[in-house]
Amino acid sequence: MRNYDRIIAAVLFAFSVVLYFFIIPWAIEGAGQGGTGLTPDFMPRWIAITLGVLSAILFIVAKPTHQQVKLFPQRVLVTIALFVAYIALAPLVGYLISSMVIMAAYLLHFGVRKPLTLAVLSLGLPVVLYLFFAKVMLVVLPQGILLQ
Amino acid sequence: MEQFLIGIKLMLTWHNLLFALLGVAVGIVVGSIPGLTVTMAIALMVPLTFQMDPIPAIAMLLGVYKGGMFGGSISAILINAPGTPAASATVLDGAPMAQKGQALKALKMALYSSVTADTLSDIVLILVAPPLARLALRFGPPEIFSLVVFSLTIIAAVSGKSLIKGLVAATLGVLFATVGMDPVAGTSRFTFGYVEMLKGIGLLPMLIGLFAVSEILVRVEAPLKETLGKFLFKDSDRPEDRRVSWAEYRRCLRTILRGTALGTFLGAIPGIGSTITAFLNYGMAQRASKHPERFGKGELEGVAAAESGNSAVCGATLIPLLSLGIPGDIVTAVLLGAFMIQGIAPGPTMFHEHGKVIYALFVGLMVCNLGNLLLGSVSVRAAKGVLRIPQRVLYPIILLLCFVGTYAIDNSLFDVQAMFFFGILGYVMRKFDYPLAPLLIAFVLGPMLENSLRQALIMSEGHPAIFVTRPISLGFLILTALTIILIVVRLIKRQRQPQGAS
Repeated sequence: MRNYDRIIAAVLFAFSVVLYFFIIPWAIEGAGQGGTGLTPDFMPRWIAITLGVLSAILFIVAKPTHQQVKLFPQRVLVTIALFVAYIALAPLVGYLISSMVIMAAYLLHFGVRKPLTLAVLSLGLPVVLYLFFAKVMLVVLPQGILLQ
Repeated sequence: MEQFLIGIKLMLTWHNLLFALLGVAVGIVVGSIPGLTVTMAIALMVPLTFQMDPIPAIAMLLGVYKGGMFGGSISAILINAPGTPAASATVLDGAPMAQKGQALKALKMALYSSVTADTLSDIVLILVAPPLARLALRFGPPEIFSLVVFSLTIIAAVSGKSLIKGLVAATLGVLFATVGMDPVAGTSRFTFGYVEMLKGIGLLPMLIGLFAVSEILVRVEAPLKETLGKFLFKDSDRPEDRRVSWAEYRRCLRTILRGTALGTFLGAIPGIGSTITAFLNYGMAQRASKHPERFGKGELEGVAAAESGNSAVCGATLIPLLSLGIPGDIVTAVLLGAFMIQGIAPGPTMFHEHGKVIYALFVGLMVCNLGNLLLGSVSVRAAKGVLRIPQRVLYPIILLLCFVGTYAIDNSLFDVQAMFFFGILGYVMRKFDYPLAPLLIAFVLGPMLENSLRQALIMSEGHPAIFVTRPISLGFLILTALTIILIVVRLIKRQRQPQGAS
């Protein structure tokens, strides 16, 4: 039995307090100046208060459950890590190469083992997408600084 | 009427028809794939519409919406798994019919009842939206503020299991909306020194992250299957199992019309989606039937009930969007984003400023319905092919599409990073039963909420009483309070009852 809702409510409540007292004064230009309803921090402060009240209510009414929630099992983690690698790789080696590498990695990660499927998809799909977006839609895809 | 004729002329070009039909075809195929939602299809299609004119762009997106609504029923009937949540009620009778060899009959009934209900709902939209917009033109900032509060409360209340979680999601959505340049003072908020954040968080990166990436992340937790679905149906050679006769259609017409009325009425209220409507109409059809025991065992009327219920929502859900500028569900929130990209702000002023576009869209809706009817039977074959693709191949393709689609919006890797952040946020929210729709819709409505609040307070020189002294504003606030009280009372009642009684 775990009370996930209560844990999340506590986290949200802490966040709303930090938001109200620290983040808003720090990250909003012109916070605390000006008159009626005009200050840039007016709305964010009300949002923080609303979030605080809601999470307090959630904390009180939260009930424990028998269900186990498993966050980020391994396959999800690897899926996320590969996407982060994709974002990091694209500006370095360009759209085409990074897409081919990541596509192949995803296919292998999800268990595709046939060499033909792997080759056709990881080489072909990025080329098709590249041609469509770069040549038809005229998007300037990442070129890659390492290869120039 | 004159504007309507101009609309017909504007819409009916080969170019526009082609894009509308393309949208319908994409919608049907994507909608038929379990796990790929209509929202995901629209989210990934919007980046493609940037360089198009408003009319073909919006017509194509509406086509995806309508095609997807029908597409969901293909897999509901053929593989006993709904392609979209809205088709869940279609499974109840569609799948048993397919197992009896009546797959084609069920599909055709689904198509005919979808198109009938959708067309009637569109007509209601065309009749209701303009006068409602004229009324809404008289709304000042206090009325708009109260209306947005009311809409957000309903959306938060109906989209998840818990009102409070829905409200938390909506609050976070408003918070994300404040990132960027302050609309009144012009100073930066929550940008943390990043120049890219000055223009705020993009709707599309958020959308693609929340509804495409997070969906994939949840899906890959389970073991991946060799194919998307197994065909469970038998194909019968008897002609009466492969078509819907006029007499059968007539027999179901009462149910279809009931579904249309229900879907149109509920669809016009923000937040109530097509899934709820489909189940409600299914229940009502069963109660009204002379043979309620046949429901769930392959009753043709059951398919008609579910499909007319969910499709009737399509037209009506555009009523609050076009006349008030308020999106009632995720799809209309995306459409709002697509309108904005085209430089058109949905809402009461749109009928003045872009009247031609609106009427062209009304015609476009009808074209998409016809497209559904035309492509429906062809697409069933295409969808059958798509359903053979293994999950392990499909998911990488979608992830690559998310990357390039998001990047293409603004040639920005920052957007891709933001998109992925929302993918992970969406994953965590899904795991703990926080509904995503209130977050997205509150994000879309956030600027409207803030601007109307601040303008109203300037009008009243800071007195909050302005919201309760103006009758329309007070009315919306009372409705909001009633909604919350109703839900809390129901919750307390349910808790007092012994367990299992709910």
